[in-house]
Amino acid sequence: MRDPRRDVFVSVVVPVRDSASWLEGQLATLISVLKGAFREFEVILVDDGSSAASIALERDVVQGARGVRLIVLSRSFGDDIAITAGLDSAIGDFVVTMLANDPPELIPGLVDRARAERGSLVGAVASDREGPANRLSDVMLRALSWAAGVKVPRGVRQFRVLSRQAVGALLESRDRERSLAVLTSQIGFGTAAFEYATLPLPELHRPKGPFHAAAVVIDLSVATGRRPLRLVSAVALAGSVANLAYAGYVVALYVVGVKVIEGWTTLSLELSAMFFLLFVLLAVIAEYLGHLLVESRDRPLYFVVDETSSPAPLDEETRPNLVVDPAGGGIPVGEGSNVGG
Amino acid sequence: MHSERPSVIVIGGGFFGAMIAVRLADAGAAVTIFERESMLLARASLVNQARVHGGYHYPRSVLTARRSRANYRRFLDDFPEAIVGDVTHVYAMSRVGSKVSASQFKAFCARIGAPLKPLPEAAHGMFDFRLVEDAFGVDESVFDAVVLRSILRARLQQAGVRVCCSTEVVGVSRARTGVALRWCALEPGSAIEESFATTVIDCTYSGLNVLRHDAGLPALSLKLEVAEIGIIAVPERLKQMAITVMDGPFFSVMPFPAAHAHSITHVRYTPRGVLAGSTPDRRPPAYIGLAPTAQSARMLRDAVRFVPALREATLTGSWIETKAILNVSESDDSRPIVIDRSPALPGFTSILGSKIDNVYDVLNELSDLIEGDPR
Repeated sequence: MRDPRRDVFVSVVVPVRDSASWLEGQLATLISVLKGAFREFEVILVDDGSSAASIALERDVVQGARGVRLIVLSRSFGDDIAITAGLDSAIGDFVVTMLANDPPELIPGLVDRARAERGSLVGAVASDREGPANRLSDVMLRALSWAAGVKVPRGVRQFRVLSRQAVGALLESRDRERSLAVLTSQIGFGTAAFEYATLPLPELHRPKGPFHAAAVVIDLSVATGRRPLRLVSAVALAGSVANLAYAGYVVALYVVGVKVIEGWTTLSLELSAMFFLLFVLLAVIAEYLGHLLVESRDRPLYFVVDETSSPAPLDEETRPNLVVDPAGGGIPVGEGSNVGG
Repeated sequence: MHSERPSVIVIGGGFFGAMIAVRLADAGAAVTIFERESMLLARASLVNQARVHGGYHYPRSVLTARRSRANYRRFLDDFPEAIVGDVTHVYAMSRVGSKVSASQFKAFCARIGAPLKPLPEAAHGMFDFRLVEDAFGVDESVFDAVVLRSILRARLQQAGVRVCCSTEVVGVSRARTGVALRWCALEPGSAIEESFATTVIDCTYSGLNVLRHDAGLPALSLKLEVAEIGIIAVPERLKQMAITVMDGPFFSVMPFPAAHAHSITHVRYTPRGVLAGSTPDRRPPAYIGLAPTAQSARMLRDAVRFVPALREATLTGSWIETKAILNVSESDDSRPIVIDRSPALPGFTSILGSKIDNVYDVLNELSDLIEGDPR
């Protein structure tokens, strides 16, 4: 009998943070979807700063499951870095990244599409784009898309299917301030978008308000793109050209012999304009310097406390091999009583 | 069975049992080995990975590493014929998830006096340096367990050791002069027989607690871990290459002469579970020549990420053996030896070796074992 399941190894990376209800409910759904659709799979849970009690629960769940691996990070690093930690050790042909309230039922179809198109897919939530949180994240993404000079689909979250090639390319980027949404668009590899609706589950973490969002946008813009710096160059160039013109004007007046008196207004205007320009430049250069400083320290992106895997008991493989295929199958060392249990 | 010479029975004809038997016979004892398999060195000595440790493996336990380094040279001097020649040994440090960085590893090797060379020419272009921080040539070795077996067989014969294969020891107990031992030939219809010895040394590794349980001795604090080795046929350019990626959930690919192929072991996928408790009622399982398992496929799949040339490697089988790991050594990866002499059963000693090369630590202890015995 042929195994109807797809002959492809799929890794699924899910960051978790104190998400007991998901572990006890949705995780089982995810595993059964994967088990039914693929011959080989692994689920990589990346714990991103849960409480000790939650980590204990995660370990229990992993022990009781099959094909689940848990990577515990030393503190909360945020979804993007937690997912990166999962990508770093995922072994699948395709790697699915998702948050707890992304629908696992879509995975088999998405993997089929990614295989057919030999590329990667990014998910975008189409419905229900109202509400201040969504609006804020839209604004953030648009700012980032501009800074990085790539097109990031509207409503993009962490649900995506990455080919091995794309995962390899992502590995290459070790920016501390990272947005996988932007990075995935930046690396290319035929990233097509798909639309989906999230599950009606509570978000694992609340959006942090406009000031935090602005800080994130600045960090990421500096990290991902050169456009802000380009803008600074343009402004600086324009300023210096204006200055030059002004100097020419002053010289011309002098040459022509126009009597200059009471230049206070123009002088102070010029001064204030120049200082304004100067400080804008300083601010932007400071941002880049800060970014360089952080990157040049070359510290690891994250720290792993430990890793645990679901048990992979022997009987799944040795039993059938011993009975069904005596020629190519296993020969217990010694006599038959070695088959423990 | 009573004579002028002290009599010693060694249970288990693995590498440790055989080495101990030779040593005691040379010291003047009348030694017999009881081995359950049909030949010597048939279990862990054969099935476990064929690495002679050069100390590089223990960057988190300098003491273990130093001792390992010293024993490494002794092993090479002692068994030059069993060492597989012409193999390039390479250690790579993973860029992500390693507990030790490349610079820490360099400092560590300098401390234990283990040579660290630049990556050999043969290994250039082999690693994906997105995942590997740095890689080095090292001075380590691989042994051929089959050659080792024939060397030991000759030494045992020369030392006058009696070897009883296909013989299972089923019980030990206190006798008037030393230890009484019940054993049984593994043929249908064989009866249980009894022998006496002044000293009985149990070298059954993963089976140590079985006899101890039957004799009412306290169990050693062992974890019995069922471990899998993938057997792979590697492409030509990797044939003479032994690759180890450190230090965390990573892997080793190295020649495995016992299977005329390469082995792959992986910190994440090799352990197939732990036998509950000390499991005195079960024999630790072992399989040679299983069809390749999905678990071995996972090992290779992960290894390909670090060493793309392994994409051309094919899995040909999986071997499984039970490892005995002392519970205290789990955290620092050290592998101390255990020599347990039970007051409740004078003359009976359990010896847990671990890495093949720390047999010399055990041998150092042996002379006092024979002289210090009550006679």
